[in-house]
Formats: sequence, structure tokens, C-alpha cells
Amino acid sequence: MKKMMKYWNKPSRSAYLFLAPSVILLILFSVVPLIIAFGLSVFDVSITMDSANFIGLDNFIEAFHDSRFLNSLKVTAIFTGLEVPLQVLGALAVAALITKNNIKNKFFRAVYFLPVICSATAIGIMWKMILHSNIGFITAALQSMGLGKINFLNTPGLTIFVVSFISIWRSFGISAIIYVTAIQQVSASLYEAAEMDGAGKIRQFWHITAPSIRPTFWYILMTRFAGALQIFDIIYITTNGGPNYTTESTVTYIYSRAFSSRSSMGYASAMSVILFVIIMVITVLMYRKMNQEE
Amino acid sequence: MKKMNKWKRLVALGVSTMMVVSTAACGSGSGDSSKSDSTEKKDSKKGTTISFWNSFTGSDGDMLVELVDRYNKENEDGITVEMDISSDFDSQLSTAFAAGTGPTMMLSSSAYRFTYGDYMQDISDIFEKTDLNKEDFIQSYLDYCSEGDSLYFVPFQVVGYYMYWNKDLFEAAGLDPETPPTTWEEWQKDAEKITDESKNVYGSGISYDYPYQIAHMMQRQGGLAVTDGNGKWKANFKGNSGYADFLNMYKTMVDNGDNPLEADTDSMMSAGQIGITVGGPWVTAGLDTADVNYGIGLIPQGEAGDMNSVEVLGFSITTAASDEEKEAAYKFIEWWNSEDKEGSSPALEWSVANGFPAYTYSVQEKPAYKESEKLSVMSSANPDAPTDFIVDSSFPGINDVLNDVIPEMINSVAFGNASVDDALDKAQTAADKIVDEYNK
Amino acid sequence: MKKKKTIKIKNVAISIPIFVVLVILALLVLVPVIWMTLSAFKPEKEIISWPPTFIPQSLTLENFVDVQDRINILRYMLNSVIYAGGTTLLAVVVNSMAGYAYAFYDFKGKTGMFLMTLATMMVPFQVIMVPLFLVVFKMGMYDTYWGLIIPRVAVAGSIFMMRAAFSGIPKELAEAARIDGLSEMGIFWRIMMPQVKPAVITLVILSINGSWNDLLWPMIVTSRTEMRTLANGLALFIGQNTIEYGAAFAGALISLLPMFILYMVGQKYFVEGMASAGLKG
Repeated sequence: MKKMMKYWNKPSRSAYLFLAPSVILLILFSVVPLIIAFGLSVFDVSITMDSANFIGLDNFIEAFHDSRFLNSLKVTAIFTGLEVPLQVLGALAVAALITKNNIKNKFFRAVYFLPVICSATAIGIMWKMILHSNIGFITAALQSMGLGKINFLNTPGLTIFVVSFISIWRSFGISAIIYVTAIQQVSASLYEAAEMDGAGKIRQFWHITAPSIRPTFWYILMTRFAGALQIFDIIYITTNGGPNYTTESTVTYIYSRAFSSRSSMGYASAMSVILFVIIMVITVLMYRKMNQEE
Repeated sequence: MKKMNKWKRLVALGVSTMMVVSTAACGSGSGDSSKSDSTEKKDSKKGTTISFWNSFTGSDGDMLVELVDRYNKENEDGITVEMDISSDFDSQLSTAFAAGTGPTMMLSSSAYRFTYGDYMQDISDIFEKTDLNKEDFIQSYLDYCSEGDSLYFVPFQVVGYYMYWNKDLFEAAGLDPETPPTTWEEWQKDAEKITDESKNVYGSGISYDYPYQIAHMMQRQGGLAVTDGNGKWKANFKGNSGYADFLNMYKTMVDNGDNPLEADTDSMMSAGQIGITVGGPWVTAGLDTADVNYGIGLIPQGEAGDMNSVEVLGFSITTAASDEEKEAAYKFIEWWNSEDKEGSSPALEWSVANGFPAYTYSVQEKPAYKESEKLSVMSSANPDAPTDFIVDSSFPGINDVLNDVIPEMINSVAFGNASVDDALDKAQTAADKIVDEYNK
Repeated sequence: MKKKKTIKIKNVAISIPIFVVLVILALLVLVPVIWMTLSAFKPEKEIISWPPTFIPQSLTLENFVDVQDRINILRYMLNSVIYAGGTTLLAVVVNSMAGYAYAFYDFKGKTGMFLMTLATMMVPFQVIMVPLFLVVFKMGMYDTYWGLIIPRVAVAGSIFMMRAAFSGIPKELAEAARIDGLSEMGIFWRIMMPQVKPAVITLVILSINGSWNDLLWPMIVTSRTEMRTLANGLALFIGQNTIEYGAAFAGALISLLPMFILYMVGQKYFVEGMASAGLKG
């Protein structure tokens, strides 16, 4: 027994011990379902999987000729382009401003965190109601200020911005808080040394804080990326892809193909594989950059 | 029903292999026997428990809960109905069916027979095994529930769409609040008069994001979108002058500011901001709570002739049910339709409370049914008019037409990237693709 | 003396615009949330009305009574607590261990394993839902708390977050402890975990919050009313054809409150975590 303990206590071996539970759980409940789901992409199969015909790459060929799928990729790209930079950098800026543990900052942190703990459904119907073109509170308020009637949720070209805003509104609090905890972990002695050298706050931020929280920055960047490219719930509840499919993200479209009509699980899987490849390529590139930096 | 195919077997094999690994890993070797087995082995003497799934979220679901509770208390056969209302019915059903389990009984649109038909039992013997009288059921509704000689549903609720108008807004516009439009020209004219920009009031409330509403209106002008042409399905979008009329009317009203460019017109109707709209019986619930002074009437008919388009929802029994559970479910369905001493039945109560027209002749004859103002309008429709909704009632691709073809068409017209004719041509191409699939 | 004064003025000049920005952001968050809160106390008729109101013209508790009458709040809340609590307890242990391993050890297959972990983050749940359900069902966990909890424990995002947190700790700390004769597990548990307390608290809050508001997974993996969570119960007010806004908002508040209390308690520990980390650093 003791021998075994000793065997496993070697750092390189104990790494596997530390990893075992998560790897087993991930394989069972994520990787296996993922492989099954990807396997379905070469079949013509419904959601209940009751009859499957092997059709090779037909689903993939169809996807690249499906204008709604191509449109959904475009929508997803626009959404990601709007959401990720604003979220990742905006939250960092906010975090830098509320790092110190005083009453004022604690209040702001609590406020910014509020949307994070609301359910997506509640957030969705709330925004739908206050931005309603006719009876919405905000719409009416803007109108009475003489800003005219703005149809936030039914104007192609505008609605995607509104949806991105709601998405940022919902989660910038958590990104900011994670940054705050990371910034707070930076050793105080580093700042003291910088202060002695006469470095100002902004220089301190760039030369001490920024490098120290790099892992957290990468974490937020990469998870936001993966999240934005899979945006679903907020869109599903607020616009369901409208108006005129200008907010139909890839996952929203995949969902509708899997469930609401024609119920083609095979086709939905094929589209997911394409999306997966896109996300994975971006992630691997970011991962390599991250490792270089660290 | 269908033979287990290779792929599914492969999946099952893969999953079982993983099981061996996992049980060793998690250290929970016991409890591998699947849950559905143990529920099926209920002691018959102690009564039967049947599971009952549906998607009746909202206030009508609350009434369903009460009725099911009443059955559980009153029935003398020891049957317990365990109801589960799902906010994501399709996900729950499809995952359960994929794993070979599922509820005993479910409540859904009869169009579900096209998607989940393989998992539904033929229940045509319910009329022999219970006191339900087949002759009492209105045949056209039973047709919705059948395929060939097999019956997959027993009707539960008939959903028709109606016209609602705001009497106060009619009056304010100098129109007679008791005379709603009866033709589409009148609808357009009334809408123009009612619209009052200074008050944010719109005469007409057609939503570009509500395919059911649009389908009910469209088909009255241009007939069914898919019909049976000599044993083959055929789509009727291209060159359909009735559809073109509807789309032109919608576009004109939007451009003139008589109809909002808005997905959620229902809440505007409740807020008293819309003159005339079309919707299901549930619209009245919102209007009643909001104290809107409204009238209900039939949707104006058009060139396509009288139409009484409805959807039929029904009880079905899944393949996951044992014979004993099936029998218990039959008893529940029987109870739903049987009269108590006062001559009332749950079916009647449901109809009257929620404003759904009856599917049996006997309920139609009940005083409580006849006295209901809402229902009298709803059942004033021509009884001989066809009941098909947007497509021939036996066309399996109804959801594709409703969820893909019609939304794509109306969106492209509403947001001006296609002329009406182009939109109809595109819709024809999309519909042809669907039709071809089912013609194979 | 003079020099000190200029610094002070400069500080004020910066901190006022900063404060204004923070207040504007806070208003952006608060106005909608307050609107929702006030709406929960308005009669349905007033929530959907024109012109829309912000301050309720008539206050009512009927929405809360409605929620209370129609769902078994206590039972649903208990299920939510079991689901969120169980998942979180296991998630903290499992994901922290994994994050620690990726941050502190070099071993064969590290990149491959980490990429595999990341890959699980990149497939929409809606797609793996059916196969995942098959796995859980075949394991005999359908309709059980285990089925609810176990598949949701290991989360790539959380592992990644803990990895980031542990990366901030100097490796010499582990070396020193090894020389002191501590086992690897001891180092992790006694030395390292206290160092990343703020991150652990974040993980706890995120994990609880995720399960608390999760709608889809509890819906498909359980099939009985008594297994339903609060989120499922509240979804009932958003009907297929009509939405009961008052009840939905009241329900949202009921569900929000425990999370908010938890956050306030958690925030207190953020600070304590800081203090202890500061002492050692």
C-alpha cells in the first residue's frame, strides 16, 4: 500500500491521478455523445434515431448549398465579432476600475453580477417586453424624448446589434468578476516595487497587472469565443432568428433542423461538425499563441 | 415497428461497452437495470400508474392539472395518472423515444403522427373496449387522427383561428363596433380608418412571425398550399392569385402604416393598440384580463370558398405502454368524455372554459355549450366546409410548410427583398422539394 | 507638501469620470431589472399597456400568489438545491484537480488531453443531447438525482478557469512543500487550494448558478413532477401561445433571490480569500 502511494506520488504520475475523474466523466458524458452525434452526420436519420440510411457526405454537400446555413454562419460571425471584443476588453476595463475592495466597488460588482444570476428565459422576455416597438417601456421613453420610433427587434441590420447588446449585458458581469479575482491575486509586492520606481497607475496596469492575469485573459477570450459561436438561448427567446433570418445563428438553425421541421438529426449533426471544425481551428490557433506567451 | 438498423445496434453496443468501463470507474455496480422495467412491473392489485406527458404550459395547463387530480381521486379502478407538463416537449419526447422509453399516454397535435408515428400504438379498438361511441365523434376530426384503418389519436381539442376586433377602437374611428369586416377589402378599409399614429394605434394586427395566423388567413384567399393531385402531392404557391392578394394586402398595409412591422402583435392587441387581428381561442384570455372591449367573429372568407380550417389535438398511447397501462389510459380517455349525473363531462368543461369547439355531437347539444357566447361564434362556421389546415390533412409535411416555407415567404415580402411574385416562386421551389420527399 | 496636493487633484480628476462611467453601466443594468421587479407587483393588465408604465399605478401581490398556487415551490426548490448543490460539490473537487494538473505538471499527452477537454466545449448541447441521454439511460440513471448530477460535474470551462487561476501561483511554492515532505495530494489540498480561494468561490457561484437556471437537462433526464426543478416550474408560466408576464416575473424574482444572497455571502469570502493569500505572498 505504502509502495503504491509512493509510486503514485511521483509528480508526473500523480498528474494522471488528478486528471482521472474529470477525464473519465468527460469521456463518458461529452466525448462519447459527441462521437455518436458526429457519426450521425453521414446518415439520413430523424431525431428519434428510428431509421438510418447511410448517405455519405450528402449532408455536408447539402449544408454548403443551403443558403440559410450559410446565412447563419454569417450571422454568427457578425455576432461573435461584436460580442467577443466588447465583452473581453470591456469587462477587463470595468474590472480594473472596481478592483479595490471598498463599499462603492462591492456595490458595483453586485449590480453588474445581477444579470448573470437571472435565467436566460427571464432576461429574454424582459428585454422583449421593454424593447417592444409599440408598448415597450424603453421605446416609449425614447419616443417621448423626441428620438423617434425605433423598432429594436424588427429591423434587419439593427436587431443583431440589439441581440449582441443583450448578450453582453447578460454576461459582462461574470467576466469582470473573474478578472477582478485574478487582478486581486497579483502579489502586492510587485506593485510596491513599481511604486518605488515611480510608475503611474496606467503603467502599473500594463506592466504588472496585464502580464500577471494573462492566463485569465486567455480563459475568458477562449470561452467567450466558443460561447459566442454557439449562441442560442438569448436569440431563441428574443427574436427566434428574425427579422428575416438576420439573427438566425448557426445553433438556432441547427436546433430548428433537429426538432421543429423535417427533424433531420443527420443534417443537424453535419452542420454541427462544420461549426465544430471552425471553432476548433480558431481555438487551436489561440491555444498555441497562449502557450507561446506563457 | 421498424427493424432495428445496423447503426442503432452499433450505438447500443458502443454505449454498453462504455457502461462496463463506467460502472467500474464510478464504483456503482448496482442499479443497472433500467428504470422503465421496474415501473412496468407494478402490482396490478394495487392499481396502475400511468405517465401522461403534454406541453400544456400556461393557464390552461393549470385546469388540466385540476381535472387529472379529480380523476385520480374519483376513479375506482385504482388508476393514478402522473402528469408531466413539459416546457420542451419535443426534446423530452425525442430523447425518451430514442432510448426506447416514453410516457404511457401523451397529448399532442395530431400532426405528431407524421414525426413520432413509429412510437404510437394503433388505438382503433378503444371504441370496442370502452363506452366511447364512434358515431358520436365528428368524422372529419377523426380523419385527422387516423392513417388508413389505424387510429392514432382520440380527439382532445379542436383549434380553430378566429377574428378579434377591438370595439372601442372601432367606435373611436367612427365605425360600427358591431359590424366587423366580412371581406378582405373591408378589413383593409377598416384598418385604414382605425389607424391613429398619434396614439400608436394600428388598424390591423398581422404578425410576420406567426405562421399559423398567416396560414389561416392565406388559405381563405388562395386555398390549400399542398393538395392531392392524382395520387401525388402537389404544391400550389406559384401563380396562386389568392396568396398573391394576401401578400399584397399585407405589404400595402405595412407600407401605409396600418399594420405594424412587429413579431409580437398579441400583446399589442391586449394593450388595446390593434383594431383587428386573427388568433386562436387563447387570445381571449389575454383580452379578458386586460379588460379589452372586443368581439369575436369568423375570419373573412375569400375566393377559395368556405373554409373551416382547424388543427386537432388528441390523446395517443405510445409503444412504451404495456397492455395494462394501455387499458388504464383507455379508461382515463373514456372518463374524459363521459357525463356525470348533471350531464357535464370534463370534455365539456374544457371546451367551455377555454373556448375550443366540441369534437362530439353530444357535447355540441349541451346547454352549457350552446349558452357560451364564444363557442356559438366558433361553431357558427359552415359545418360542411373543409377542415383542412393549410395543406391536405393527410400530407405529412405540414410542419415543413408551416415552419420553413411560409415564414421564408412572408419575411422576404415584409422586409422587401422580394416582390410578391418572386416570393411565391421561391416558396414553390421550397415546397416542391418537400413534396418530392413525400412523393417518393 | 506641494507635490502631494497635485497628486490628489489628479486623482480626483480621474476618479470622477470613472465614477460616472460606473454609474452609467450600473443604470444600464439596473433599470431593466428594476422594471422587471416592479412589474412583478403590477397587475397583468398594467404590464401590457399603452402607454407603458415604470412605477406601478396599483400594487398587487396576485402574481406571487399565482406562482405559489400553481407550483409546488418548496419541492421544486429542494430539487434545485440537490441538483445545484450536488453538482457544485463534485465540480469543485473534480475541476480544480484537473485545472491544477494542467497548470502544475508536465506529462505525456498534456496538450492532447487539454485539447480534448476544450473540444467538449465546442459542440452545442442540443446536438449531443440525444446521445448523452442514451448514455445516461443505459447506465440506469434515468429519472434519478444521479442522472441529473453526474453528467454535469466535469465542465471544460471550469477546468480551464481553474487552470488559469493555478497558473498564477509560483511553482517554487510546490517545490518548497515537496522538500518539506508533503505528498502531492497534500500540496494540492493544503497549499494550493487556499491560494485560489477567489477562483474557487467563482467556480462555486458559476456552477450553482448554471444548474439553478438550467432548463433543458432536468427536463429531459427526469420525467416525474416530483423531480422537477424550480427553473422547470417557472417555465410553465411561459405558455405555448400566451405568456403570463406577471407570474413569469414574480417567479424570476423568487428564483433570483437565493442566488443573490449566495452571491453576497460569496463576495464576503472573496475578500477573506484575498487577505489570506496576501499574508502568504
